[in-house]
Amino acid sequence: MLFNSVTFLLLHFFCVALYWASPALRVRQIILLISSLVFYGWLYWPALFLLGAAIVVNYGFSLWIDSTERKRLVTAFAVAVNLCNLGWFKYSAFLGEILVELFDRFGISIENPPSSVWLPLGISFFTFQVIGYLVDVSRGEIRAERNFFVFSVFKCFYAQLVAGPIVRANELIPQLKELRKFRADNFQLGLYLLIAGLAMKICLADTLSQFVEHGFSDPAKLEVATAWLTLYAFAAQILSDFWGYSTVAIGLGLMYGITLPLNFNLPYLATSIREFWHRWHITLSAWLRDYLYIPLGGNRTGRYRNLFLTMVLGGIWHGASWNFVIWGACHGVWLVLERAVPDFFPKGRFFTMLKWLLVVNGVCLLWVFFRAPNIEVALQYFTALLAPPYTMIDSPPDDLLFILIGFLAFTAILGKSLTDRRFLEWGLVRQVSLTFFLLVAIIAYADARLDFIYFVF
Amino acid sequence: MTRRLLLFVAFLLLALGVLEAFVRANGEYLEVLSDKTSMRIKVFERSPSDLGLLFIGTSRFVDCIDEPLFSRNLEIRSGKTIRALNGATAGIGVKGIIRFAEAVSQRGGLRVVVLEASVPSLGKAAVSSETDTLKEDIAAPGQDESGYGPRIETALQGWLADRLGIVAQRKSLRPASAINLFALYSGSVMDTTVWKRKGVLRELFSSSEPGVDEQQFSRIIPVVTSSGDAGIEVTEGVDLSRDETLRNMEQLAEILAGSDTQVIWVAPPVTAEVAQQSESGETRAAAFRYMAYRYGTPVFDYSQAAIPDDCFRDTSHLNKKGRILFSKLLARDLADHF
Repeated sequence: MLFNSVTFLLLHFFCVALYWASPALRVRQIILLISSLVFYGWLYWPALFLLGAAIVVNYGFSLWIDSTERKRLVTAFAVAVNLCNLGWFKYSAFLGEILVELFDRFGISIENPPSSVWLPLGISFFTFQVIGYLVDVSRGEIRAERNFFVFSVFKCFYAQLVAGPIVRANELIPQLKELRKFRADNFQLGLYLLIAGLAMKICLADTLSQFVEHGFSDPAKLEVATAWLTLYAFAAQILSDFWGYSTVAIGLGLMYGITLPLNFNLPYLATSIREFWHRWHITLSAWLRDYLYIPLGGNRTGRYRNLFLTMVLGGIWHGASWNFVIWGACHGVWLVLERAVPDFFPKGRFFTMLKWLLVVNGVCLLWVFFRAPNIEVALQYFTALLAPPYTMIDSPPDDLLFILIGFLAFTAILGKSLTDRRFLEWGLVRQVSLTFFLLVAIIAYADARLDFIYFVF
Repeated sequence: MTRRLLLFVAFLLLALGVLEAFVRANGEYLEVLSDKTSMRIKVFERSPSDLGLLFIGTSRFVDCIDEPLFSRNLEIRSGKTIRALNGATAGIGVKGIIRFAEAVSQRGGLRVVVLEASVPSLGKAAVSSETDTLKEDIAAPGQDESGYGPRIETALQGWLADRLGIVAQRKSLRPASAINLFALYSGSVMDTTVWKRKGVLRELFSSSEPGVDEQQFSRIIPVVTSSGDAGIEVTEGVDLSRDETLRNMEQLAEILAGSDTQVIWVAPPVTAEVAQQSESGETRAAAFRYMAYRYGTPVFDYSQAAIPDDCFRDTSHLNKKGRILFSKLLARDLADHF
């Protein structure tokens, strides 16, 4: 179910009320499990079979890993099963295309191999989350969770099931096993984050999406200035969309008294690409570091190769197309260069600003690969960004400038309050007025409900 | 902390309640702010009683007429001071124009109303302001209305909209409404979104005032059809029974027939290339003759007039140079009606 729907909000508040009204821990766990399954299966109930199977199978795997002597072998098998599941649903069509093209190069014509026609919501997220859990059990960092309800809720808690944050077992499971008292401050902060996240999604991301859609549908027709504006619009859209989702997720969790990890921390303020990845999709970056970069050898052997490979695989995680491979590879090369070449910028505010400009614009330019439907369109877009005539904006799209200004204002005024608990320190008037403003903005722009971008990853 | 939470929620609900009360009390105005056509009608209704001339049409008319320039030239030609208002609206369809005509009929006191006679203004659907192409209603993306989930959501949203003014009038809560509110009260800006249209921003920043070649000016003559030119056999050889444009023209003429307002039709200019490609010339001419004969409403057709191509922003919209030229032309040609 979409977070940005009236149905979801009503059911969510009903579930929260039921949760806090229940005195028993087991009942609370069951409420969380049932509500998570209902929300996941709301739009397409057959998806519940896949989710249910993934829960049961991985519950079995975790117990097996915990009890066996051959932990590495069993873990490798369990991870392979999960990756095959992900591969079938997400990458089979892409791999089939590559195979057909490869055979075609040698003059052999083959039929397209069978592939999945359905991409389950959030499959990349819950697969990565459970792989991390299995590896943690294998490493002995945590014990396998014996309580099936607790494990199931960890696997499918609706606040973060579909698009993260990717939660570690040691962060979430202890919270699920504790019978906590209702804390008004957590609930209030959760309510604020829910409203602020929805405002980001509905007022900024969804409004910007129409301009971005228009710009990327036929880049050849774009004038230089419009192409740049559209590029910045997409940079703002994807941040508002994903940060908005993550903020809502954290807010929903807090209403249950559950703290989910931070996923964004003003990423466009980064002055290096390394810092950017410490601020953007933080839980994925940490996952890639702990479960991919370090097992590949980390800083010990082949540091630059490991870094590059991690980013390429991180790119592929986002989607099954060459665009994402190139996007990940570009980030990999950039990270490698940044580490290999010493920082030659002198210290000082001016040069920090210069570095920030380079990083922000570099990141924005690489978003072209992320957003364009294929490489051909991406190249067309780059041509539109650079090719003459260098005319001024001939037809500024409706409200685009206003929304971009709104995005900057939102980030500047409220950005920090989404990353910590400072909202609770504000005075009541400030709390109410800002929340009221956001609520009115949500109502004003709540027209078409669009899916979150990261739902398809 | 619980007290703080309760106060927070209570004040939030109170603020929403105050807003709801405000929206309900000012529903009439707020509704207008979020609808372009309604807003222009409201501006017209609030205009001074000495308003003598109103233009109603689409983006073509928005680009055609510079009101102050038109009024100055009309004064020079006719010796009378006529206050004019350009009520043309980019993207308006025939339904909007009919609503405007009804408002004109109800208000009364207007001397002349100039209606745009073109396919976009008289076609059946709303039009894109830039291309004048008819557009279909587009469903919200990603919404499959057949499932039970979307149906429940739609029903819930409808239920809320029926009961809450802030939901029903949500568009009027957007920042753009503040600009519309200014336009509504000042009455001086009819189209607050005009700057967003293709080429308008560039013209705004161009300082040069394009001149008009007097010789060229005198050569541009519209095809004028008036009641005196038309006989009983105005439509001979042309079947107009299924002509939707004519039906809409008739409906507009009948709405305005009840008032004392003189109706004048003006077909706006298009580029020579488009004029040559037009295949409906005879049908249209017959429709104009019919209107002139049946309702006594003269038609000034500039679609075949030799307006130079450098006066156009695209095939059917005039640029700054074209607007200056056309405003003077129209003042010259309409002067006799005042």
